[in-house]
Formats: sequence, C-alpha cells, structure tokens
Amino acid sequence: MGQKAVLCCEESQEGIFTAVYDGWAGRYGHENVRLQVREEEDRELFSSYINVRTDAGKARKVSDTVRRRMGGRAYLDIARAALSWEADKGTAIYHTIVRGLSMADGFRVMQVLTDPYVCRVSALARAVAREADHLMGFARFSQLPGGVLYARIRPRNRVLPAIAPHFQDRLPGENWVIHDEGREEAAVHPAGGSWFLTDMEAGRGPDADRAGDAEREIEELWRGFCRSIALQERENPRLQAQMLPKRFRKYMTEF
Amino acid sequence: MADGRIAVGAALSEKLRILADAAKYDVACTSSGTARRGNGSGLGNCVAAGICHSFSGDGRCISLLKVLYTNECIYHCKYCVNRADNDIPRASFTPEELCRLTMEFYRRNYIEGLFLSSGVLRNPTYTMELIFETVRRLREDCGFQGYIHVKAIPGAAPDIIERIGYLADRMSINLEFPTAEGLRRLAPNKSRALILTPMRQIQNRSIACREELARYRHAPQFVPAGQSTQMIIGASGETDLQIMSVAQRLYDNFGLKRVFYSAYMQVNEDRALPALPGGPPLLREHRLYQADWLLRFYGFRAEELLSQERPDFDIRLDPKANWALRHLEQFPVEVNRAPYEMLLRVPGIGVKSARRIVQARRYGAVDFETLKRMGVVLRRACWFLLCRGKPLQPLRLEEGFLADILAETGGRVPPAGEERAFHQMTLFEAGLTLPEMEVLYGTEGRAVL
Ligand code: SF4
Repeated sequence: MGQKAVLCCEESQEGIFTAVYDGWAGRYGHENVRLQVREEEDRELFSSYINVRTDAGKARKVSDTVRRRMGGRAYLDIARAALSWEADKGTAIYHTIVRGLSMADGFRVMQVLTDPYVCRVSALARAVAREADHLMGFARFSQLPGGVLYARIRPRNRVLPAIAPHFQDRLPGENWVIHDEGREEAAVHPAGGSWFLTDMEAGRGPDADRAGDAEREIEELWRGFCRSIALQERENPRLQAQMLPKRFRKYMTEF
Repeated sequence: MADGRIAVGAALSEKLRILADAAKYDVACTSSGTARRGNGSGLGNCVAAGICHSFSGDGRCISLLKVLYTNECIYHCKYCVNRADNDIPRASFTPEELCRLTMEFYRRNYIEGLFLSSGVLRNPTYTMELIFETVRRLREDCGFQGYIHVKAIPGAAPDIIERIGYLADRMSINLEFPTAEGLRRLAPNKSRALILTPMRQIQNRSIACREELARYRHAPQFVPAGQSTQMIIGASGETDLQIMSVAQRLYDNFGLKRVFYSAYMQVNEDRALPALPGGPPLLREHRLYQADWLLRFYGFRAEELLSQERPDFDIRLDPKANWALRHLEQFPVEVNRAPYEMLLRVPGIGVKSARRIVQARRYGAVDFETLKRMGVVLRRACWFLLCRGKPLQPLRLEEGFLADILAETGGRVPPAGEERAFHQMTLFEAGLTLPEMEVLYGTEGRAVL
C-alpha cells in the first residue's frame, strides 16, 4: 500500500477536475487519493499534501473524457455534486470518475450504487438539485426603481449556476439579479441577453429598500393572498416547516 | 346577496381576500404536466414537474394564484360556503384585475400561474365567457406563457369549454361526490350527466388534438397538462371501495391525470350534511391519496386493495401495508431476485428505490446496508425481505404482530376526535417515502432529481 496523497484544490468544478487530472497523472494509486477542497485544521500524518493549481486546460480534458466515456447524465450528476457544500465532494467525484472509466460501459456508472463513492455523488447531486428546485420556487424578486428585479438568497449549496438558466428562460425580457449573499456572488441577466456570474458583496447589492410604494402594494396583495388561502381547520405549522424549511423564509415576501 | 356585495372599484386587496378565501377549499394547486420553454419574448415557461412557490399555514403547496372569478353564485350546493343563500361578502374580479395580479405575481416569482375557478354568475355559460376573456387577455395581450388551470362549470356550452381548452394548460370539472345519489342530494343544481359530458368532451378533444399534433407539429395544443377532478370525502356516507373504484374508472375510461380528494369541512349547518365532531376526516383523506398513488404508480387495482367484505381501509395502516398483511403468503421476498413489480409491493420500498435495486443488483449482490443507502425504509421493509437468503432479523410473518409494527401509532387506534392531532403527528413518523409525501402536498409525481 502506497502513501496517502491528499490533493488540495479549489472547490469549483474546475478545481476538482484539475485535481482529478493531477491525481491520475501522479500515479499515487487510486485507493490512496483523497481530495481536499477546503482548509482543514488537522493534517494527517503519513500523508503527503499536494497543492493543485487550477488549470482550465486540464479540467476541460477531464470533462471531455467524462462526457465521452460516461455520458451526459453522469456528467450532470457529477457537475451538480461539484456545486455541493459538503467537504467530501472532491473525493467522491474522484473515485466515481475512476469507477466510470474502469467500466466497460461507463454510461452505467451512476447505477452502481453499491459503490459508496458513486452513491455519495448521487446523493450530493440530488441534494443540490433539490435545493435548486426549492429556490426556483422560493426565490422572491422585488422590483426596484428602474424596473430591475432583485432577489437575495443564501443557499447551502452553490445553486446559482443551476437556477440561472431557468430564470433566463422564464424572464427573458427582464433585467434581473439573483444575489447569493453567503458566497458573495450574483447571477445578472440583462433584458434580452444572457446571464453571467459576478462577485457581489453581501449588503452591496442593489438597495432593496428603495423599492417604492407600488412595490409595497404588490407585496401586500401577495401576503394577503397567502393568508386567505390557508385552511384554519387544517393548520399544521410542522408540515409547513417540513415542506418549506425556515432557513428559506428570511428572504421570502410572505414571511 | 346584494347587501354583502363589494362595490365595483372596491380595493383590489379586498376582492383578492374574498375570492382567494372562497377558493381555498379547492385542493389542486399543482402546476405540473406541461413543459414549455419560454418563447424569448413573452413572460414565462412551464416546468413538467411543477414548482411549489410557497406553503401555507396548513402545509399545502402554493403554486398558483388560486381564486374564484366570482363568488356571486346562484346555485345551492349544500356543502359550499358560496351557496346563494349564505350571508357572506360577495365580489367579482374583472379580466383586467386578474391579468394584472397574475403578471405582477409571476414576475416576482411568487407563482407558476393562475388557477381560476368560479361560482355561477347568471348562468354557467355566461360565467365561462368571462373566464375565457380573462385567459385570452393573459395569453394574447400580456404574452403570458405560464401555467393556467381553469375549472369548468357543469352545464356550460360545449363551445366555450372548447375555446378555453385551447388556452389553458389544464382543465378540471369537480365530480364532487363518488356516488350519483350523493351528488343529487347535496348539489341539487348539478348532475352526473352534466359533469361527465364535458369531461368526455375534453378527453375526446385532447385525443384528437394529440393525433393532429403527431401529423402537424404546429397544430394548436388542447389542455396539454390534461384534466383532473376532485371528490369530497366523508360528506355522503360513501365507502373507500366506492371512492377508489370511481377513481380507477376515471383514470381508465376518462384518461384523467389526477383525482384529488378533499376531506369534507363543515362550513354550513345543514340537515343533509353529517356533523363531524372529530373535525374533517384528514387521516382518511391521507389514506385515499396513498391508495390513489398505488393505483397510478404501483400497478395495484382497487379490487385488490379493498373488497365488498372489507370496503374500507384499516385506517391505522397505509394501504400498501394493508394489502401486504392480507397477502403474507407472498413474502418474504428475495431482494436480489424478485421482479420489479414485486419489489414495489413491499412496504417501505418506493418506485425510486425499486428501480435502484433492479439496476444495482446487476453489478453485485445488494445487502441491507445498500438498501438503506438507496432510500429503502428498512424499519418497515425488513420484515418482508431477504438479502441473499438472510433476513435482517428473524422474521415473524404474522398479521397481528406486523400490524402493530406497521401501524403508524405503534398499534394505538386514535379515539374519535383525536384523529386530527394523530394525523399531523404521524405523517412524518410514518415512514412515508418522499414521493408519497409529495403527492400529498402538491408537487404531483415530481421526480426526485
Ligand atoms: S356552484 Fe355550487 S360549489 Fe360552486 S360556488 Fe356555487 S354553490 Fe359553491
């Protein structure tokens, strides 16, 4: 058994894919490889730590290979898992790719749920998709003077790249901004154009308090509707909390 | 009620309050069944699985702006808060008002679209004309591409139903009661024939439209998300078997996408209606949704689940456990060999996990640890399963023993009146699989991505 190799990389898909490339090229023996996507307090003894510098070219080679050998579905799961907030995502992705490339039919890799890494990638991808799904519903825009629609979110996972295409399709003619305050980045969509990601500090987004009386009136209509539509006879705050976890409510108009 | 009528031009917020309040007893708020990309210029798209935008205090999904066009109703349905002889505030929207609300709510991502139902103003056809005008404006003048669900009023002219069907994503006509007798007694202005005729019309038009679409790609779509209906549970003395048999016929013969069940709520004092001291029969409603799910996705038939001798579910158990306990001779099941259809019948195994098992076992034997990771509810399933010939713990295939384990109170039957608290407690502790939760609370068969 060789020495353990810990590849320290950026937590973006590009960073992880670069580490996959380097891990492969380094011939550490796949069973020895672990990816570390964030600073960790304690370093393991008897492990060598390797810093991975993100390299777009290497990452592209890996993503091309994954797509070709494992197909678009598996690629999508892996790309989603890379948006996860969980620290073990890098290692799970590494070994899932190893597994896929070792199979005669790599397109079936995501079905091999008896492999704990594949199972983990699949679970992470589902969690990301679920939160993205949630925010496609729960994100709330307010209209600022000038007509810009501005939404603030604070998701666990990095869902912006997963939800922005949906909103571009839905609101093609609007100027809109979705601001992930926790990550200090935003998806920005100019009317009629294509969305892009940009850095945006928390509290430095458009000033939502500048929304005028007309906006307040619409918000009040919505709050009134939400109150009216609930059946008192069936009141069930626990069920409500299960379906709409409290952490989302801070930014929702009706709460 | 002329005195209760809100004056024309009254605050929009007041109308919205009245007409949302009047619509809250309608269950369906799903926005699923249509996938439509945005057209790059108008506003909106549709996502096949539907999107829940909020959850109200009762835990139900809010996906659509669900309102009545008017509650100035001339009918006398005994169970309905809007019946003509009730002294309540009345109001009607205008098409402009509804368009404004829908567009402004939609832009802010409050909703997926509009769910428009209505009381009967003057007569059914007149009311449906107003609804048509609203929907036409939304689609044509506002360029709205989001989801629209229109509830048709029994007795409206076929022509207006057809015109609306070309603009709406989904239409529904409430069946109201599982038996024709119940309908006659409790909804004197409606009849089975008046309800089934437009249902058949919508079905036939949809089939014809699909054929046209197969030939000409740009043929106009008719009710692309299909039709649904709703039955009130617990007001007309019906059995579970009657309810499930009707639902099955609607799925089989009328091509319905969904049947919704609505626990009867007492809003009017009326001798024709039962008193419900224990509150609305929510647990029963929950069991019916579970059974409905078994019909649609698990390959069960109503007559397998219930019989003339036992026409009602044992309310302590979910319908699948009910079935399993009456068919213990079919268990235990070997996970690594059982056909997919049989895996689906094991309590604690859902559609997703059954599929995962079938896929995964091609690559090696599946054990209990793997089952757990796949999302199988082992607490329930382990009593019916073998992995490579071995059970997780010694099996006891005895009805009484398993009923206690699978019952969602741990064997305790809720006393009448306590049903509600029981219901709220158990939905989450009952080991429902996620899809089962979702069918209940609105997202309708939404894929767990
Ligand atoms: S038609 Fe019947 S159910 Fe509908 S609003 Fe009027 S009274 Fe109520």
